Amino acid sequence: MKVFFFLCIIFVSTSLQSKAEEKEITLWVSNGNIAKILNEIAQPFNKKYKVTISAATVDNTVEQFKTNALGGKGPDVIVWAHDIIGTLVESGLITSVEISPSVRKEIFPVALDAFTYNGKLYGYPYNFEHIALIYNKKLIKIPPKTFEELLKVAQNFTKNDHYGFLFPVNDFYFSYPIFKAFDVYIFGPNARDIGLNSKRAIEAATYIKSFTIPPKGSGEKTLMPIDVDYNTMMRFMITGKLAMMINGAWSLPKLQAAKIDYGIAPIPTIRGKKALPFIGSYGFYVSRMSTHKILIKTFIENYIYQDDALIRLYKEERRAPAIKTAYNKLKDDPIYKADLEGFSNAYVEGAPMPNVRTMASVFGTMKTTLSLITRDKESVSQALNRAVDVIKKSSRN
Amino acid sequence: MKVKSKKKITPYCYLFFSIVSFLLLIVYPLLYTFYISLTNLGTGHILNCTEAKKIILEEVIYPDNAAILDFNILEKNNAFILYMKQSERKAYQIFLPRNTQTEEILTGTQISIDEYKKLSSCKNTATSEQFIEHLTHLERTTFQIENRIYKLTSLTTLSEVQKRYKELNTSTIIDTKTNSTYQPDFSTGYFETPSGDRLLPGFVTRIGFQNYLNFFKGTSFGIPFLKIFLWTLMWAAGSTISAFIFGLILASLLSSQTIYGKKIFRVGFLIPYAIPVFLSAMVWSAIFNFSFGPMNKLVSYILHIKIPWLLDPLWAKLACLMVGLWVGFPYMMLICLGLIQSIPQDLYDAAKIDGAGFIHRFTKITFPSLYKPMLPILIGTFAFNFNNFNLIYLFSGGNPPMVDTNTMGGETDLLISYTYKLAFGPSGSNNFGLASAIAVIIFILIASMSIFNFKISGVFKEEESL
Repeated sequence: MKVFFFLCIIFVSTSLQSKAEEKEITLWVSNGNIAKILNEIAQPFNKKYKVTISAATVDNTVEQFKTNALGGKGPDVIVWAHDIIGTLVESGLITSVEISPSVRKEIFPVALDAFTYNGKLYGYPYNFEHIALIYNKKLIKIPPKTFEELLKVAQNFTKNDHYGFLFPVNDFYFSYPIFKAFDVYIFGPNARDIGLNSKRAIEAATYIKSFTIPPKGSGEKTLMPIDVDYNTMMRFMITGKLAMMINGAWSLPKLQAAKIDYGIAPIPTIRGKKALPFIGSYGFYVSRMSTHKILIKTFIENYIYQDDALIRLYKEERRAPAIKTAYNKLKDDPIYKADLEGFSNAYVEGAPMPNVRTMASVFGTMKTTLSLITRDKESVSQALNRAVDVIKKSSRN
Repeated sequence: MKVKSKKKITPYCYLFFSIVSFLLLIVYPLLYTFYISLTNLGTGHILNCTEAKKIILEEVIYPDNAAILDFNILEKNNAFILYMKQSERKAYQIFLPRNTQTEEILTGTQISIDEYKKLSSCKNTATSEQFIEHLTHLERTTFQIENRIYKLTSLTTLSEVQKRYKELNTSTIIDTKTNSTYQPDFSTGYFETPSGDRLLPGFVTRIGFQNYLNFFKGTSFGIPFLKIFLWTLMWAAGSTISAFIFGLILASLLSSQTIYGKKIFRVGFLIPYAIPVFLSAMVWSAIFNFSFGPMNKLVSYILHIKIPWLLDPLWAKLACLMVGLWVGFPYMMLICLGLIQSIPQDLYDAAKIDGAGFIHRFTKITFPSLYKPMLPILIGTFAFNFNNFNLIYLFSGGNPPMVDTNTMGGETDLLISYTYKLAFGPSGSNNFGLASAIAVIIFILIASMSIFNFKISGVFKEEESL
């Protein structure tokens, strides 16, 4: 019994001690390799300022962050995509940040836009990404410039167990460029105005439907199986049975591993209109409860926003660096030149994915809606009307 | 240790712990869930009113041509001195006591340029390390220099800021930009102007039975709820009973003496039980894939058609039941095996002498002697399957979606996964209040069903007669 008490006292005293000494800043990341890289980048910083910045891998980062914040705990920083800003700001979980003007002007405006909510910046963006047309160079010599052309080419390739063109039609992130080419807006100037059941949206959805269910009497082949999803698309691409897909840069390492000679091109135009994708950006969010905001700012501005650090992160994630100098440096690298340039067209003209909370509802609702449309379970206009109804309802509460 | 026999107290000793754990692990969560269901806790309403107010008041704006002062640090007489030059003629210094309190206002004083030069030529410049130790406090400190307010924005700069909101009195906040006043509205959980403009973030507030009303009034109730409730009953009953029947048949086959390699079969049949549902549910969902799944490859090879598993409501339900059976039967088989072994062999021998066949022995001896002890297990499994979120969520995700309703409920959604979709799912927000309200409703449903089951099956009869 005495030994037990003794151990208890030692344990308590040591735990109290360590709390007083350490100045610890925790970062939560969803990807283990990124955590490793961040820890390495942080080493000189830790040495210089006698603090401990440590990145930890946490699955389900955002949900964990929210849950921990409920109990007043959690990390100082989380690394995540920009689309959760609305939710986090509404709950008061993150703070707005100021980037020093000299650093700020080096960041691509689209990445800053992505992290701006209600006119304020809510995170330090470090990269950005979007989807494009990725094709197998063995099968396609010159990538199609228009969708009409693409569909014709795809028709030739689509025969038993081989496909010409696949993408996850039901995933709104992937099918949005088509809506965009039809001039569909998601949110109008008025927040209550949702344009996803407009006449043009119905046209766009009907266009998407024709991939899985060709209009009767057109004599066209079915381009895609009705339950096409991301994994199906990737499986066929990796085995060389797919000529073209729509995907992002994150898929490139897998294609390289499978020794697929791929090319990247802009998503083709539809009836002469550009099909611009959403632009997404990853960045560092600072928790409201963090007491090390200045140190975090110093770390990110002086250690993350460095070409070497960003290039290391790029090599792991394949998302283009948000800092111009790092981006240009990578562009000069013959290994990554083609990859970067293939994707670079859209970020100049494209807009970031909306970061309001309702956007999550748009994605969730459109997924079920598009799956009903592309399986011909419900008429296009009826399904879209219903979707808008559900989205409006979810934005209210 | 001495052992004292206190016969009268001993049972209560054990009971004490079970009562404590019952209170801690069952009653407390139950009451807490009920409490949450009376609040608007969820995305946008996580903090309490004072915390929310604090965040709003903390908000600062950086004026368009905000003054930025680069400072240096000096350590002197157990205090830090921040000194900075604003222009060629003006310089300031700020004394920082080492033990600065949080949220302090420190005033800067003007010093002459000569003094500034003297300060900068001092050798004992504070190392950043010492300064950083106090950074946590300094981040919250407001610096006042000549009627302007500054905040620390980096390790070497102060920036001019303006407070966006001011506290008029304990319950009123005024926007210095627009002069509109905000007051906490405890029915919506926001600081609002009389016209309804809101400040973020909102706060948690008790809203009475509003969550229950919203649920019963909303479109998520009504026909979709009824459909999902019926399917949940069907699923719970179907997967429990089919697993029981299948497990019982296998168990009695495996315990008959004419089968060789019983051990191998027993191990083989236990495999579904050993694989985590998280894995097997996803594997099954791949197997039932419409275009590329092995199941449809097999079916189309034999029948030359493809079955729309997971795409058509009816087939999806059938697929769910099949997987439910696959996951559930080993457990039932295991228990039946144990129970069958406890049936005296003499009964079977006697039956054999009387000329009873396998089926007769099963229906007249095995089944009646198993039925009673199995009942509580069946009721428990029923309640478990009723809430079998993992399997449905991972296997079908509730798909295919329902047509003609304004909710995003799916045809194979159980009440519990439907709740998840309503409260946490595609709406992008976590509505803990609503989720708790539905959880309470489900609890009442299951509890009353279980009591009813226990009553009609007479499981507790023995005790009641005592």
